Amino acid sequence: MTEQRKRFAPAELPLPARPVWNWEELNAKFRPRLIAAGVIRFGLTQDDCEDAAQTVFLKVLAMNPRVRDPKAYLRAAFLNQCNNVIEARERRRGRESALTDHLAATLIDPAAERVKTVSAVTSAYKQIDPKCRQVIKSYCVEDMTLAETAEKSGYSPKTVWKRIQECLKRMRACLAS
Amino acid sequence: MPRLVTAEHPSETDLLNLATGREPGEATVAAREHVDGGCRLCARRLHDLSHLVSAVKEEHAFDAILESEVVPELPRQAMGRTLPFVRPNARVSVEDIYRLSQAAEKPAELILQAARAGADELAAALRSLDRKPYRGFALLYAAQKADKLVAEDPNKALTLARLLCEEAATLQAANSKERISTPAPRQAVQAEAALLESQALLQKGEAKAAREAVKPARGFFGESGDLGFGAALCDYYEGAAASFQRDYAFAEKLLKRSLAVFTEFGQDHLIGRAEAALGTLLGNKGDFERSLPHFDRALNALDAVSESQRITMAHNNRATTFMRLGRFDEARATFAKALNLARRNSQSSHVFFIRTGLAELDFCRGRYQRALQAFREIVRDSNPLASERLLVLARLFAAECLARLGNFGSMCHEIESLRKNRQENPFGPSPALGELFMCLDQGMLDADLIAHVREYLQDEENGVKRSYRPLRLAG
Repeated sequence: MTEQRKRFAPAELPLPARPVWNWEELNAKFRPRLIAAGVIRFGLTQDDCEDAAQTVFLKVLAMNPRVRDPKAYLRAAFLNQCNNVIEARERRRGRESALTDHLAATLIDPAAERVKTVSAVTSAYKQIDPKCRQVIKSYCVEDMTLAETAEKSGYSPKTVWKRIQECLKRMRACLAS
Repeated sequence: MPRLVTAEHPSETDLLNLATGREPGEATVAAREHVDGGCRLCARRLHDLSHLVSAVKEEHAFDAILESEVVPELPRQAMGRTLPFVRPNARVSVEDIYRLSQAAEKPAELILQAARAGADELAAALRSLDRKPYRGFALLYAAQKADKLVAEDPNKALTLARLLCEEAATLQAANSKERISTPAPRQAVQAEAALLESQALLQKGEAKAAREAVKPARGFFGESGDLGFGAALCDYYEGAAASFQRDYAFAEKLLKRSLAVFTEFGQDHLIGRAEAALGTLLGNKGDFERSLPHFDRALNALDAVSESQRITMAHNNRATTFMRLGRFDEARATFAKALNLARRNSQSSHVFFIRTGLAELDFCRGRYQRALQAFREIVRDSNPLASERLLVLARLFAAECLARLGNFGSMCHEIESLRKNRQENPFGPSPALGELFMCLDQGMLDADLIAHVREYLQDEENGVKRSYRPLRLAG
């Protein structure tokens, strides 16, 4: 009887709480990788990347109650900060080489372009189905054939191709905007 | 000048294979020759695809480093422009700042408890932070966590917001010109306090003041070296206030902008909130087809436990959208889901809205007896916090049900009781009600006239501006 009562008792609702961050992982693992990614992919100096990482870690701590996914926040904020660093570097270079502002503005740093591309693709990925994302990665990045991609995703090759087309179309629209 | 190419264009597959740089096959070679032959259309298609593929590869390469097992070895750094002995001291340990921020969590909660208790308690709680190293973080977190207080008592939230802004004046300013920013600077606290003020004002129904309150927040976030997230929060709160003011075009622009940044920063709960706000805005505008996907995405993004209130409201608004689109079965199932959630989580104010929606659904389906009973129960059970406007509409619905059921005596009685309370009626000065009461005296009242008046008042409630066209008293 008691057992039966227990079974039918209203379930206690868990208290709404923010997920606890895994600080150790963020600071000890994610931070050095962010710095490395900034140096390797965008050609920034290690000092610049360390400063950028420091800034974004302070930002995420300042936004603690608002942030649920600190890794995603740090990644996006780091990209924005890298962009700021590159722009500042460009402005400095423009002044040092005595270029006119107009001419300096026309010289686009490829690193800045790469930072913007990574941000744009991340946002575009967020707007498509995770399975589609996987299909795109398998086909375009890992160079799998259509048949291999189909096998990995569990779709038929025809569906895979249809999905690739749809996703590329949507991503193109996202990147253009 | 490029020559004209008349051969058949290569398929998207061949162009994509070309763009990804796969092993050259017969089709890929033909596609390359076609493009090299001068087809401008295919050259553009190939360029687009190549750009897309290289963008995807770039993102993948960046992520591969973030997810790598071992941190890649970095090239040895050349001597910088700063002297080496200056650099190490420039950065405060993030670990120390993290500890400070953790120490501030509890004091922030105490500030909120004190704000609920009263002014003296709040002043004491703020004074207890004096000379504490985590004071900045405690003030910052108190402002960010106060959204629950806004729902409970907007006046107390407003007082708290203003006090936090004053308190922040003594904090260290942000050093946006330096390479590294200050932890919890004055401007960040003031920006959050301004956002809290905006939320409290909106809760009080002062949409214009709520929009004004966001302006200084934008400035403060800018001064604190914001990386886009603060500006998106400003967009979201100003968009919500503009939506409340029925400035739909501007609100939509702001909410979409905030949604894009929340998506970039990968914060699902904020994406869900912005999507729900956009869905509601489009629903209020009468653009039901466009509002549905926003609700679907909001429900996918919101967390069932921590965002239960928002999920309930998103279900309710989605159900209302189904109802407006004539998809009654889906509307009923969705209302049932919303009601279940609202009752389980004791969200009494939401239950009122959902019951109103369910009653209206019965009405739309022509089940007037059921609808009448439901509307009467809503009016009877309403608490003092229930929207006066919605209660008037519920009574008009009840009168219309009576008319459609042929019970004209009770219908006249219902309208008569509305007239008696015209002074307190929020739609009191409306010419629509004027015609309704005039026709009551002249014995010209019927279901069609009540429906005409009700639809006009519903439009007024949703911000649709149109002049009233009398139905019976024309000329």
